[in-house]
Amino acid sequence: MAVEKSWMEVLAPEKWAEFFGRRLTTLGDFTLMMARVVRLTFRRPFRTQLLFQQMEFIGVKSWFIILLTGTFTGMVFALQTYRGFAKFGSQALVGAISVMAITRELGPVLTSLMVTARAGSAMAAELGTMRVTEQVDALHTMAVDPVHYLLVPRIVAATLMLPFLTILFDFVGTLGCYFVAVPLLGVDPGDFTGRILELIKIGDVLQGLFKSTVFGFLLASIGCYRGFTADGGAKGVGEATVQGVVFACITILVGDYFLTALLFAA
Amino acid sequence: MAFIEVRGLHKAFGGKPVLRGVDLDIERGRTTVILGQSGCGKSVLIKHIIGLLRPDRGSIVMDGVDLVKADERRLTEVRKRFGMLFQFAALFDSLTVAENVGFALREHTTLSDGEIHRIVITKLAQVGLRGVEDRYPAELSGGMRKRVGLARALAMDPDVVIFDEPTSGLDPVTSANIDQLILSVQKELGLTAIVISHDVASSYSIGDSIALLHEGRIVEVETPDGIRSSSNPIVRQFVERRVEGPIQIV
Repeated sequence: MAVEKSWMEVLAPEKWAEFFGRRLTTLGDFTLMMARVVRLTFRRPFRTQLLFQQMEFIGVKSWFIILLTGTFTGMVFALQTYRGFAKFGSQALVGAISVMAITRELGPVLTSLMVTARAGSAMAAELGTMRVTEQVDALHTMAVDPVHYLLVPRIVAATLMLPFLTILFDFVGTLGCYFVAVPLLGVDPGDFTGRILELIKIGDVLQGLFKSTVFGFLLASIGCYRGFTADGGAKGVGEATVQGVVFACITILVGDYFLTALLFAA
Repeated sequence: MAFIEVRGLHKAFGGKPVLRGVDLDIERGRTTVILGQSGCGKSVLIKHIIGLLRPDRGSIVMDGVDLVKADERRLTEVRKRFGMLFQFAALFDSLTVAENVGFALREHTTLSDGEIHRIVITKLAQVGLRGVEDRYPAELSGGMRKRVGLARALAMDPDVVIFDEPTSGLDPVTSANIDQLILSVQKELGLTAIVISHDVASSYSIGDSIALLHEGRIVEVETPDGIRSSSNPIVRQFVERRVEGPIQIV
């Protein structure tokens, strides 16, 4: 009887209305805040020092983790594609196919996921802590707009730095692929590079960089928004951080499909 | 006419009323203590006065300017006339003491770094601190943090300083010391001070007038002596720290 009642409760229309209503409200609130971020980006004072600090934190300090991720992704992709292509005697295509996957998909997506884990979580936790310890209110009382001071530099920095990190990922991923395919698996170096030059177009790379720019904006804005709207002390900050990272990762993966479809259609 | 006039202020959150028609006058150059039990809406009232929250109904007029009807740009200008010491100081963790105190000066003035540093040193000396400019907030004791918070609140030479529970979380000696500091700074600079507190002893020693907020309304405004001799049962229960009476434990 208790189980039946609980299902009735779960399926009750008002519960669903409340559930979707809350999410729609959050989405509306997020959209309005991001519109404000875009507007304030072009408003004085331009906080260049804060922007450079964030570019260093998000971009420069992420280089090593991207280097590792990119190298090993390229290496494992070489192994996998070699095994598959060997069945058709097309081992010469290993480089071109790996590089195509890296520049179009793996580079922008994995770079964004790694930066979300490292910098997006830090943004949510830092802003959440500032919110619950009244530091955000302190900015307000000192007549400083917290969105302009805290959110704009972080979101702009992430949007600018992600393409550079993706270029790094693409480069080391290609190198990793080369070192596994050529010296270890015996692919001819001329075939490896020749097929890359033949099949990979500049548009493949640019498509990846465009995606990473969008993902940079998304991961920073979601992390910042969750931190900025955190409440409920340490537990609230923890929840905001987890939700910020999870929502940003899901948005990147789902957004990747739609961006790809859009780019193909274009 | 009072410096700040609050009239019929109502505010509800999620349908739950917090302020139910607050009327309060804040006199220029005097210290007004807003006393009340935890969760009675003192901080909500203060956030309205400083323009962080908009009321559902009512008005707040400061020096002839209606803060409720003011747009964000006007409010930003009004906020520059306020300084606020937060309950836990709310110092920026990532900035040094000097950067915290000089923050508003850097944001709103064209003073050189040298001039800002000189003002920072003066403000820190005013609150009895020396040689802490390069420390980070995490390296300070609770009392020192409050002092730095006060120095930051005073940096822009505000007309009004708001103290949110200035003695909460401090030992009795440090609390008395902070009370002395508030008194001396207020007298020396001729500030209008608004103090939120539930500390009756502290309120008696620093307040020119004491307002008791209960269930979203001001139930009594009196001098400290007037509060001591009040026959209002709510006031009596509060100052005598009795469990029985009209105030229900939330």
